[in-house]
Amino acid sequence: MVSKVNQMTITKDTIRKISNLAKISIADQEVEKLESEISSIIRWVEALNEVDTENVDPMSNSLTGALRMREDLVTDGNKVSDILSNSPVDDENFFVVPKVIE
Amino acid sequence: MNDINTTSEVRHTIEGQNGEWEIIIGLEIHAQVTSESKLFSGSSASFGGAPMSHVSLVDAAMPGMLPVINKHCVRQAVKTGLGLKAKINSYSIFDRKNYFYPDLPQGYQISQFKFPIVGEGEVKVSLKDGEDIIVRIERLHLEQDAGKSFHDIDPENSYIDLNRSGVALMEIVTMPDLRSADEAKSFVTKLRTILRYLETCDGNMEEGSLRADINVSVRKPGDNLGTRCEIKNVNSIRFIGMAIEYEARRQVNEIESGREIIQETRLFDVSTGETRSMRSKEEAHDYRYFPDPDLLPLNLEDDFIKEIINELPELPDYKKERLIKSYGLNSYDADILVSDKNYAEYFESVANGRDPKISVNWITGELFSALNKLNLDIHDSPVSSEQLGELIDLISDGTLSGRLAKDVFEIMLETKKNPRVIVEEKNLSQITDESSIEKIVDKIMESNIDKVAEAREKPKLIGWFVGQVMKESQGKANPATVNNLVKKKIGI
Repeated sequence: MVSKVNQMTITKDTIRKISNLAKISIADQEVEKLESEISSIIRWVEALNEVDTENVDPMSNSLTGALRMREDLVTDGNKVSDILSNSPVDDENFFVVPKVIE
Repeated sequence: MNDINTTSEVRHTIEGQNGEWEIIIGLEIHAQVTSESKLFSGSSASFGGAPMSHVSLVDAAMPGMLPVINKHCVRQAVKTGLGLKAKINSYSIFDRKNYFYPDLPQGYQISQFKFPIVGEGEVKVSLKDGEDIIVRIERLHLEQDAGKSFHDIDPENSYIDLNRSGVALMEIVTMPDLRSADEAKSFVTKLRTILRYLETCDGNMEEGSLRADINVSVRKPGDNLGTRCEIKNVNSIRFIGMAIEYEARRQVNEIESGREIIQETRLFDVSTGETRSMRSKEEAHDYRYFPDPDLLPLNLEDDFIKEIINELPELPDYKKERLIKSYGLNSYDADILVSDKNYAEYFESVANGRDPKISVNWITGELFSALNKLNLDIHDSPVSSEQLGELIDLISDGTLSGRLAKDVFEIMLETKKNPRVIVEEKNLSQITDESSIEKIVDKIMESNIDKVAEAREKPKLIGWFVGQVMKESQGKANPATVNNLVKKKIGI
């Protein structure tokens, strides 16, 4: 378990894939810089691999306690102008975005 | 992914150029949870509404907004799990499923990945040939719906409405246990019936309350699973069948032409009945799930689950068994009646103290065809169950023949009057008095003496005489009495 991800390497392709998934465009000259920066961050975090986590459940939240629930009541909505107030383009109360179609 | 399915028996194949192929189908059903408000915000979850009117700052993912879970939606998921005879997980986690799309303002969907609220279950499905199959459920989890994109309002742009954004969905995933388009259609029909009994999803496919992603692969019988394709977002039971048939045929053709199946996402095109590749999304399938730090784990107390168990209605499988046992119905009739709980309720009201077989025949025959013509649901039926019961009483006590009863039923549909009132008003009661019927029989025979002689040679002509007598009596003569009298008079 301990050393499974020890060899994790960040390549230029990884950087391009992440930027693509995050929809953040990165210039070619930036890729190299990011490759070394992110690699060093990963190496730093990899120190955690030295801890034996066998038989330890993954932690999903740093808080303790139960999830608070609310009753099923309509208490919100009908604030179209608030929703649209930061929108660069809207029409007939829709957000308008460049054409996206599969 | 590659484990051989446990149900190894080959139920259905399609013919290729060089032999038989088996189709392997698994479904992911997205069922909208019936609730007043959204999964993590207090805005309305109802269908329609003016654009952006059912949107809170949470649904629009404004910075700093935090999700608070709707207790009722959690109950609905548990209730559905119980209806699917599934394991309820007292510990579950909400994760972020990350992807970018304009109708997903958060940039991620809150869903459940490793620890869903409901685990393995099963659904019994009755096929058309009377055979039952068990379809295993892998899991059910809660997640948010996205907003809706409109691509046809403007030629240059897409329009986004967030009214659906954040509405609670249950994703119900089956094991790859289905083997044909018909099986898949029967399964979705049954699942929809269960959801409607439970009132956890209205099952309205036109409004998108129930939609299916279909995983299809083909293999030679006995082989390991082939590469599958996923057909996204099919929103009618008929289209599910069409998509599977097209896709299975396409895969067989590809393989037989020496090409490989590429695992991909495809779209079903309603206008052509074909599936086509959604190439653009192929590379992007990397959702980078991680636990949502805004939400704590969901812990369900035993009492919470017990309370829901106590509220469960009688589900279709149990209702069917009971109808067969207490009313002596056959499996076919029972299946029809339990396919909608309102049918079963109507039937039990009619059959109360009456012949169950006559009751079911009237409901599935005359009543259903009338409702079909009028395009009405059974709870909007112009003929109430009490009225239909009264009509059956009039048949049983001999007041009405079957034929007259049908005439009275037509009048009931139009006027909504009680059958007894109609019988009185129109003087429609059946003539059972033998001497009155004899008079009519004599009259017909006297004017058809040649045919009487002929009938002694050809007994089939008796039917003609009975018909004439019925006509003469305007359908009111008791057919059995007429039949006996005609036979007696002719002498056979």
